[in-house]
Amino acid sequence: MSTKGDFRLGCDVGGTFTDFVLFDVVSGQIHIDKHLTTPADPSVGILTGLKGFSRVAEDHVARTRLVAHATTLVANAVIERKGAKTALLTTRGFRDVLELRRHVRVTTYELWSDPPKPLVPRELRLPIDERTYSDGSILRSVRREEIQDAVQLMRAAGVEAIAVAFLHSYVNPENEREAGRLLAELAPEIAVTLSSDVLPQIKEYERTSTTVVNGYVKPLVRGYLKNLDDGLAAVGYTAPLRIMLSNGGLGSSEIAAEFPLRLIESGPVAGAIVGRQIAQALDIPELLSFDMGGTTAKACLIRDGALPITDELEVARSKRFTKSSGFPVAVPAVNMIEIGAGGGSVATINTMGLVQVGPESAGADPGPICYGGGGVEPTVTDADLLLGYLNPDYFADGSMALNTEGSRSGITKTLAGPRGQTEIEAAWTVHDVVNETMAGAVRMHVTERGGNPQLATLVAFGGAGPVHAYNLASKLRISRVMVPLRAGVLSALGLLVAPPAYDMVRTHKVPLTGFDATTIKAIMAEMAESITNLLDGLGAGGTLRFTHGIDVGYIGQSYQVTVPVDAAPDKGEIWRRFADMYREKYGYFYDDVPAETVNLRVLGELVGGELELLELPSGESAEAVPAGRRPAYSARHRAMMDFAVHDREALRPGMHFNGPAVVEEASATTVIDDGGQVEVDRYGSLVISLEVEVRS
Amino acid sequence: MAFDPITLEVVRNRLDSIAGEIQATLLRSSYSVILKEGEDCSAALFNASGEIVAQSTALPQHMAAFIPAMRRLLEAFPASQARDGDIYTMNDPHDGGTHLPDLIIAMPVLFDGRVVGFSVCLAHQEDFGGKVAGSMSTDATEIFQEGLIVPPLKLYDAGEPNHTLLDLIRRNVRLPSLVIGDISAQVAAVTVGRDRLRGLFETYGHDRATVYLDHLMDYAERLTRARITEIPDGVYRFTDYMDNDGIDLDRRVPISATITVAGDGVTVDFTGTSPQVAGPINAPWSGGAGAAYFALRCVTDPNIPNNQGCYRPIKVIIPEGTLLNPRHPAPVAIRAHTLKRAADVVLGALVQAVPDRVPAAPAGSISCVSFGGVDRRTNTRFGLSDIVAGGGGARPTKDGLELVDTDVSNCMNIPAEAIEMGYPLRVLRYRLRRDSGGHGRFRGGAGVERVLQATQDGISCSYRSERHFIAPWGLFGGGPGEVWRTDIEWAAGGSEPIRSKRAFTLNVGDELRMLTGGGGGHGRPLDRDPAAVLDDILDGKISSARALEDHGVVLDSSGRSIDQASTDTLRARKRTEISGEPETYSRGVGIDEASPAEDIG
Repeated sequence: MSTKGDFRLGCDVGGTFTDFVLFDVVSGQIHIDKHLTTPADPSVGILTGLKGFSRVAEDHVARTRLVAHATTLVANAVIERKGAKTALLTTRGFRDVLELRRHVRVTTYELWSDPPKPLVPRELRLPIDERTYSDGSILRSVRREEIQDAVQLMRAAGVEAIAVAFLHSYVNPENEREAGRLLAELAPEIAVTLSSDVLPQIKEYERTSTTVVNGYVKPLVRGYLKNLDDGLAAVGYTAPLRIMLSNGGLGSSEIAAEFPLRLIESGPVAGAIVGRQIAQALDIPELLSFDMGGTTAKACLIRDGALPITDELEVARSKRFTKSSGFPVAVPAVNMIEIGAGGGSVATINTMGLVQVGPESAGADPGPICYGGGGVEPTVTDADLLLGYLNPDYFADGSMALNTEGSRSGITKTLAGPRGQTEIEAAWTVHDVVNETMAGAVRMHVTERGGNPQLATLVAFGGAGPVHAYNLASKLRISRVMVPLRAGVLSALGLLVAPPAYDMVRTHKVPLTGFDATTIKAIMAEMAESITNLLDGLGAGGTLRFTHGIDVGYIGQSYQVTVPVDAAPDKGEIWRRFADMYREKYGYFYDDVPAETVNLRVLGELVGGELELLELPSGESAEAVPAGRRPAYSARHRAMMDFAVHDREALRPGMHFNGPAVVEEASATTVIDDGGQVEVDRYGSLVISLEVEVRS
Repeated sequence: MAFDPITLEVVRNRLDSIAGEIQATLLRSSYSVILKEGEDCSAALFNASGEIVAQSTALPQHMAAFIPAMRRLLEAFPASQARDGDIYTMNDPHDGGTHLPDLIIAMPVLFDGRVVGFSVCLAHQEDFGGKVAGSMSTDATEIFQEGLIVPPLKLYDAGEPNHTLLDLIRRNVRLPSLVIGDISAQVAAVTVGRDRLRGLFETYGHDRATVYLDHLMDYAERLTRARITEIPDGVYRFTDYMDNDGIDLDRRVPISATITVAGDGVTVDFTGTSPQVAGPINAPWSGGAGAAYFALRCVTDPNIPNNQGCYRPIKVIIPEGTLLNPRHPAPVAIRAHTLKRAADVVLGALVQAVPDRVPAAPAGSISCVSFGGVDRRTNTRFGLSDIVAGGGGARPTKDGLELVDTDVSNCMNIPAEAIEMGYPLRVLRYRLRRDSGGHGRFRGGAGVERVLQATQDGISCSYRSERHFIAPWGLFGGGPGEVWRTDIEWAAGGSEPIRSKRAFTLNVGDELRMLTGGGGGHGRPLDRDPAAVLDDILDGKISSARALEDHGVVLDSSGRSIDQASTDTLRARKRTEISGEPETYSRGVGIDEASPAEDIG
């Protein structure tokens, strides 16, 4: 029982479970808990979960200085179309930007796949006779009467949210702001989102889509945050509530209420934060974070300790994991790949007669067959159980006994029987196929970013990650795998190590020949001021640190590199860095082709308050003694063989052992094949060396 | 040797991901807009005997493109003489290529001293010489006018670049550093593919890997045959038309296919297609074959591994000297529109065999408009290719998609803001075109209205499109989609319709007003759910006049809900006026006399 000191509380609201982590700042003790998510109002589940920590300290509420949480609420609201009735004001002549998209189709050979229907029907897309030109000049201003008419129409239709996206508002937002002022005056009860506030960036479809998504979820998120704030206050929390944003920074509830689209990746991103922390603490230049849960797996290549950022996020994809099948939300987000492969992924025989795993998932309800919840389709977890990787009597901290016989008969019936395989062969097929699917996606993610998977250290977590990490790494020819402590609930811990941060991007499309340092400096200062105002609301300690960047590309080319600059950038310096970075990324550089600045970026972070990775008391180098043995499947020998079983609780820094082995801890099981060598590092992580031939 | 089905699955995924990686590397390291935004490139892995074992084709028009190219490269550079680090290249459309901008690059993969396969990619170069920028003139009459012709040559010899060839290319293209850059990207891409395929052989060993590659193709073949067996045996014929060849604007050009399904095999015979034409819409053999493979993949199973095994059950016959198999020196630059029509023809014939698997015709074109000149604001040269799509065909169970690129192409549009920011043009309108989708129980997708205006004098403009005269067909009572229509509105007054293809100059204030076509409808319009008709009216996608006339849907006085009683009465009366089952196809305007379209406003 802890008696003094501050707490920090992280909770990760997932689709099935809400994971809680209570961190005792003084003792470094970490307490974890898991409760069912309450989808109707997730704040209910959160508040219930918090009460459970009274077992740690009666006064934990009063001593908690930070509540940080991640939620899939926003993404789910868009996917399930549970947002507000939303209207869109557009420039006359461009009413259909939202529906015309970029006119690509979702699948190449399949004639039946559709992109999702626009969130705003044509009837509520209202053209306004206004126009700004690309040089910022206003060709036609917004007229009050027209906005009045629009308000009347929207009221009659019961509109709850309005998005405003006019052409070229990223150059000159005046017309949008005027519309915003008039709407605030004429319809103060309706939440308004301006595209120039959300995403002052060129490309009308992406900006409009982003603005509409924000408008669509705004009333919902405001309601949710109010319930949560009120609920926390009612039980005595005085700590500020923070929310994980898609960019990997923590935001205030004010930011979340105004820009809820920033929460789209709130759930998945927390895992990558842990990866970054490990990369920084251990100075790992190329780290591949691999988070495999019940429904999906997420991977993220972290180079030089920095999270990769993308502006190409999509939400509510109609064809899962397929580009251009969802709504673009073009705000900065951590660049991760999400794969339809998790413990609950269902294995079937496809039309080719081959085994296919995922993307359909049995989720938690009915769940894998072995959960005994009524699931009848064999899943990855069922296969892992038959292969001896999971312990039927010690799963999820022993809270759930697994039904091995159920898995066996399911796999026999659906897979082994029809294919004329033994149950073990069939189970191995499932395990191996899902690994290959993940390996293919990871290779693609790494290739698209110009990296080489063989040079990376794979850091595995999530409920299923450590089970699959070894064999996945071996497919990728990765020679080092790490499994941190508490691997199964690590994402919730990630919430406690993320700094409060917000970033802004603004288009400033000017040829480098016409580069005007004074203008750029002024714009970036203005952006920094907006960020300061937003982060002030966090009331956190620490120092505000700004990072500036300029996206530079060749004129006419649609891809840019982000060149890091200081607050007062210099043209010669930008060109030189552009050349270096371009050459590094693409292997060549044209010094005779004109370049331009496209976007200005400013990131503000409150640094200094993060948690450090906790070192454990170092022990002596010693061979670890297994707690037991059991048969499990060796990929190397293609057969069941005798594996050592280690209890993670008993492993201390400095200990080492060799595969074949499984390591059991409350939240996850780690599998190491014959040939793998394991050491426990000073943080308690398992560091596994694989025998692979590393080639350049 | 023991055959292991698990390994087969793993090898299949690995090969797909290698092909994907080649393409990703190419896209990541390329420079030009056409690759970055248009993704006009493809990648493939071949086995040692020159068969496709995996491919990543962003554009289905490339599905067969590699086959004749690889055959020619193997003839020119026998595998027995290949050395590690060799890279071959070619683009000659009359000797295995597609059209001159598509540069094909292939690298042999050596393992234990022998060739085990090839890593190959194709990329559309932004310019490859010839009479116009972009190498896609609308009125070339010989291949020699279209650009630099590259026969099968070594681009690298055991790792050493062929500077002679590179210098020659550099001198013959308008954007040398860009083209050389994209060629470097292709080299980087095939090198990645070489390393990965070799890695696969290292993992499994030569004999096992070879067996699995063969097995995969056999598997794909077996599965394709199984799905073909489900298609009723029979002979199915269909003919559709190209508007013109860009030279003789009033002569429609037929494409015909006879599809014979017999057991587990299919023959697609393009006999009856027009002889080759003077203008550049001729398409080398691989284009027609690719269209046939595409159509059959759509109606069989898109999930079958995309390798040469899929093609074995499909026999393609294209007589020499025709539009789809022209003789040297026919021009071929703008063949892409021809391939879209060839896909329409094969799918159109398949309607008779598998009516539940084929949609009505899509709008059937994509307007490509190249603008060029000197931007007076900056005194710099510019070039812009705008791409405008039409609507998708209605499907047997649901409406067609509004504005979507279909069949053998799949490009992105150019944002209006990007056009105004970078070029002396303004975009005045970009919105759905009302009443453009074919009516039906399921409506064809709508096309768009897109209007561009010149903001300075002297902008050269080349417009290339199709289906301005021959409408996209509807099915089973569904109406045809609206034809395309593009007018030049001169600032000085007056306007002129473009007959599918034309080169001209725009001066300040002149407007190019494009109305793109809609997809064909499916099923009788009187069977359309009145609620769906009402939605379309409220959304302004169809007029209430058309709702009344075609769908027999009557609105009440509010104009916002359906007068059910009047609708029932009207529909009942209209139904009595129709006799018998509808025809399979509704061809609409142009099919009989090929007269120009009426002015649709």
